[in-house]
Amino acid sequence: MKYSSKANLTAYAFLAPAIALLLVFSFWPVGFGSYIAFTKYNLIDAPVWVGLDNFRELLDDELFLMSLKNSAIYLIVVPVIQVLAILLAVLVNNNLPGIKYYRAAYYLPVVTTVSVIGVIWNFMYTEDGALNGILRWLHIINEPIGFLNDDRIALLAVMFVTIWRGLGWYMVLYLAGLQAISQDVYEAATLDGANAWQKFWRITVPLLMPTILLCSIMSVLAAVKAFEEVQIMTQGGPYQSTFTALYYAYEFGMKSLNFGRALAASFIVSLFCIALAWLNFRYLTPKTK
Amino acid sequence: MAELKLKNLQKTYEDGPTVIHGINLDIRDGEFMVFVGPSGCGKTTTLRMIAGLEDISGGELSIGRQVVNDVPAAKRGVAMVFQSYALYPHMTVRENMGFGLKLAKKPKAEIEAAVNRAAEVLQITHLLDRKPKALSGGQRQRVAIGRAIVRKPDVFLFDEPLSNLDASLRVQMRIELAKLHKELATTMIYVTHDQVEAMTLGDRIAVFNGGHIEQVGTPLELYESPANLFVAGFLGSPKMNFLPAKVLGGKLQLADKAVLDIRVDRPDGENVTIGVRPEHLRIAASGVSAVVDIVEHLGDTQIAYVHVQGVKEALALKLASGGQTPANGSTIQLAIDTQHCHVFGADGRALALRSREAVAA
Repeated sequence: MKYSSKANLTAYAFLAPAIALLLVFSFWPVGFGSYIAFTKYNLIDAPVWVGLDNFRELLDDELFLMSLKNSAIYLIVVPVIQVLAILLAVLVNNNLPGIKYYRAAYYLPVVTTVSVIGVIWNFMYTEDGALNGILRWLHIINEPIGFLNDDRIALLAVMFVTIWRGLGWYMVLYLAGLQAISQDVYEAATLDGANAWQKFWRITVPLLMPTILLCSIMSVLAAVKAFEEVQIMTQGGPYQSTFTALYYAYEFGMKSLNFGRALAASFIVSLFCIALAWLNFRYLTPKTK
Repeated sequence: MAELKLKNLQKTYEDGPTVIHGINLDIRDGEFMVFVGPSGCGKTTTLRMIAGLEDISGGELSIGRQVVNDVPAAKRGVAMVFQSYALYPHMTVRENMGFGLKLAKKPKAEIEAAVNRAAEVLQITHLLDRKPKALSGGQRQRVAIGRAIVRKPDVFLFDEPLSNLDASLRVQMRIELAKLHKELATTMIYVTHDQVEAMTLGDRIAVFNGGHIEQVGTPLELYESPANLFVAGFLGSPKMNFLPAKVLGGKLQLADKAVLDIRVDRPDGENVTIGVRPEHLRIAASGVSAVVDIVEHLGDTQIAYVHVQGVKEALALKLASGGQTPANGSTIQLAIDTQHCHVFGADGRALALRSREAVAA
């Protein structure tokens, strides 16, 4: 046997366990799920091929269209979380006394389970909860706000929790990006006459672009796939105002056992994710020469 | 162009140690001043205080007769070349070099002209549209120098600019820097721990140690008349040999009882240190007995390291390449050129010699 083919075999042998796991737990579910999206399937009977029927039903379903709209609205989380995370990272990147405790505090929600976070925020959002208490104490409101009961603001209230929960994670990523920028570059900019604002816009932001791209893609995907907060805090209510596309898929799949339609909804969400990730790559990838 | 005055300049970090203990130094207009010293001696901190990148804790710093202690870095008229080059990685060479002028809102045509002129001087015109990561170390260093030139500063500051380059490129860049200084005739302050750079580039050298300046002078002054043991040992390669001795009747007696005809006005029995450079030791028929440890062949010369009774460190002596090479482990006799010896007192300071007589054995 030639050396090169023997070496290839060895390489494939080492890769085999990982490839097997990927096949079983990633590629197979994606392929099978995509197939199911074109069938009627209720876990008991064998799937029946129905072509594009599930997709036609989805496009005729107002609830799905509203869920899609809500998922699109959820994308507002992306710029907000990115800007806040960058600003927070710049702030905690200073060597101030006790700064490590601040970093840890901002990171704490990331390591807290989403169910606990959901329960805490449900308490915070109730009419006699902390948030209404603070707003009343500050004389901003007279009557309590039903954050999760008012269908006009419930989605925003859930989105706020997503921002609060994810901020620490993105802050840490940006902090790593900031700490990779050499201090000498800032000193050179100081000697070139750059003020703090110019250093931020002309040095920090361009040099953070690879991190911004990564965080942007991750947060876009997380926003489109928003599910856990909705499931724990509102179950899609009130009046289905917090239905997101994935929550819709969950409702139809797990509750109604209409897996064909649920996976067709997921299929559409996946296409959205791919398109948004492409847009991120297209416009945020740093140009090299 | 500008002269600099450092008057009792001090640096103390908050809740930390004092690292610069009151430095006094005048740097003349157009002078190439080299700060040299071992790691942690305070040379870079002093340079950064001049640049405005470190606060001055005490004393006064003047550039061009203006006290600049509280003047922001960008307004001091200084430009700095960093050891790491500190180029902006996301900008092209052209943008890197023109960044300072762009921030100063200079017209585009003026920036373009200044960048092109500097690029021509440094022969990097063909690199102007590349980004730093597409450049070699030497090219990056040129760009960093170009960025400094474009700003037309009164003072250039160099912080170990050649230490990341390989040996041959370092020699080449050293020559180019010397030429550049001649062309621009601007005041330059150059920090290095490399004594060859210090000796070859500097009009004058300031030798730093432990936050103090040990001695300031021209390279030859420092080499030929070191003020103390530190300067004597720091400059020169191989470094100066030190032999402990005792004053005996105005002359000096070595540990092996040999007496050298070096005359000092010190009382009998006082301990002193004799300093002698490797080129002022030679193999003779009689003299101080030494055992050869190893001989290094450098092409044009040979360096022999020998052990002498009563001297801790091996002594180095330079031998002509074509001459006799002593065998490792053999015993030789060393002649010391007493006319070129230095004597240092117990406090490490150089002692005045009364007279120098012919070579003694």
